[in-house]
Amino acid sequence: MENNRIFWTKDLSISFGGLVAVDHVNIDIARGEVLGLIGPNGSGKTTIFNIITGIYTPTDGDFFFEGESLLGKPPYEIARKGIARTFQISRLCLDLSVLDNVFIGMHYRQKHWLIDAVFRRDLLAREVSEARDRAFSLLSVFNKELVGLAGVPVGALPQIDRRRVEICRAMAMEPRLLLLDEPSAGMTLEEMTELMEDIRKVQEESKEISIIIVEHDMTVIRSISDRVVALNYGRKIAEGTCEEVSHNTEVREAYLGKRGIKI
Amino acid sequence: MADENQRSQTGPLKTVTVLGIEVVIYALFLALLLMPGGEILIVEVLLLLAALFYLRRNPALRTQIQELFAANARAAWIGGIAMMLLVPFFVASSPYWLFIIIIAGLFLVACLGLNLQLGSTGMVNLAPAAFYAVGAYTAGLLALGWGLPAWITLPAGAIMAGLFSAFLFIPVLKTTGHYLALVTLAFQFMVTILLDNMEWTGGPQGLKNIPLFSIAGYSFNTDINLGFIVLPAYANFYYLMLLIVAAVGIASLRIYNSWVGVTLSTIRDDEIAAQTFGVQVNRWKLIIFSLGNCFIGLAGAFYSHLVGFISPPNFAFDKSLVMVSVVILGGMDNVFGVVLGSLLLIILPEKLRVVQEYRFLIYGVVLIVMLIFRPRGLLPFKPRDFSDLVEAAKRKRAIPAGSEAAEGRA
Repeated sequence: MENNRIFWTKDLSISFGGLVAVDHVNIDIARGEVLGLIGPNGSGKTTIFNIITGIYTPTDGDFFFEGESLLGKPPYEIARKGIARTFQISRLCLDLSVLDNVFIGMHYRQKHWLIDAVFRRDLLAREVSEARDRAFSLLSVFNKELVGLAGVPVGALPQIDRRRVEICRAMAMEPRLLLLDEPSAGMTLEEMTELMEDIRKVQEESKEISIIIVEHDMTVIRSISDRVVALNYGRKIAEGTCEEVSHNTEVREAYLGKRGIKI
Repeated sequence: MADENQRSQTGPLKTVTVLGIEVVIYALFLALLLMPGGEILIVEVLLLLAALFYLRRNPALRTQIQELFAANARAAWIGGIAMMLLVPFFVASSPYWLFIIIIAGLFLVACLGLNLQLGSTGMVNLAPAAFYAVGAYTAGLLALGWGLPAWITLPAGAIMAGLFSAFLFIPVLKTTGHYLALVTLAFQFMVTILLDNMEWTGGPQGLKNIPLFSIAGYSFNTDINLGFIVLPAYANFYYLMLLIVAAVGIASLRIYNSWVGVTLSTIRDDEIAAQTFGVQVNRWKLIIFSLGNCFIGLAGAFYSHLVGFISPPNFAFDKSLVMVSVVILGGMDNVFGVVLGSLLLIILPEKLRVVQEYRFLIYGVVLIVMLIFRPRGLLPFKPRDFSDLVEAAKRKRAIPAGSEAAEGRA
């Protein structure tokens, strides 16, 4: 486990003014593992994602990816290391075509530059057509019809396809760590299971990928994650298999006290 | 199926149709310029509204026309370019309108720069006229002070505007959100006030007697006598303007239709998402802000060699507003939209001189109506699918590999 871990945090903390949003959290994830991150609203799950991707800088603690500290690195550098994410509220560019959105996921492989875009169209054409083939093969894993819709603005697609495009965009980065922020929002369980199978398919085809998934829905968590970490008020309150965590009294209190969800 | 469509849209008859549509639009445009009085304006505005309304009701016809032009793009371009080249011949009798068209062309160059910032990347620049001033004064001062020729002062004006924007951008980098708009707004007023008060820029009198263009001893201030027709001296400037418009326009089109264009669109739509996928947002913003202002500065430098006299009111805030309006009205991130926008917003007000006092009122009403009915501009942003580039790459691959190796060696 120790040697195999790809990502870990060390006493990760962040506070906004007086509010401690994340409080000395230690999580780690092994290569190829799927880690579920659960907790009630406002327990700091998305904040942790924002720290990992460099949008927020932690006030204390450190986090490591493949043995290297990412503390203080700007988002684009962290992305280049191989960490991709999706967002809770979809952050696709709705006016742009499906293809454009997936292209952004491949941004770091783009070799040509502004000057080339104007003067070296042949180079651009070669790069774009390769990237388009790749985008099509990714899209067809998730939904074959999406390939035909490549030129359509994402805003015209139904919610589930938007989510698929968003995951495609993240997968296009060929990440080694994928952060999924509530991918099931607005989806049925079947759709979600299908989506997770698709992700695994892509994972098998490419290299081993580790996934941290933030979820509210325990059924989803149970069906896909190897291990679960529960958060409440920014602190880690439980860790273990899904069964262990769901029987933990503190977790039960955190959930039942708030919304009465049966776990 | 797409192929079938393509085939049915080509053929000599279709080409004639495309050219016919272009000729009609061209004739209406020339009639607007050459016919005295305001009646023609009213007639044409009504015609335009009727056409727009009709096309809105018949989306099928609209797509048909679009496909027709796409399938006959070559003929459409050749026809369009020929008509552009012929403009001085038709308006030879009224040099004033030729001058206005040149001004519209300069605004187009500037607005293409602004479109890169505002339309493509979402950076609100409220000081295009100030960068226009930087270009114009740089060219004017270099020409007056050191007697430098135009082929040096034009690029110098562009580069100076680019440098100014790079410096201006440094404080903006530390902030987020709408601060760029505020900083540019401050810059706009700084520039006009400074120009008014600095002695070495001529103060409120500005710069006078800036030498007009002359290339290799040929002064642009001479009429072109072709034997059968004498073109006014402005024709010289007109053709140079066309050349610059073509260069800047092609560059803009290519940036839009490239991977860089995708990156810029993503920065415009969602900066955080762009960062998360490895885009160095600040670097791109700096580059595009400077490049856009280079275009604007180039137009400014051209302006000072066109009119020979520049003073601070030429570069006041209202000029900035006009440029911003061109981009918003024409269509954000759409080169053809910007072309349409600058033609409308520069030429129509000249036609409206009859109602001088109400010009800005009409202007404002048009903008408000536009924002209500077409909030994305006359020709809005179109999503890319890169099929043309992919086609090009396929054709390239079809050529035997040997030629590519040869090219690599060269």
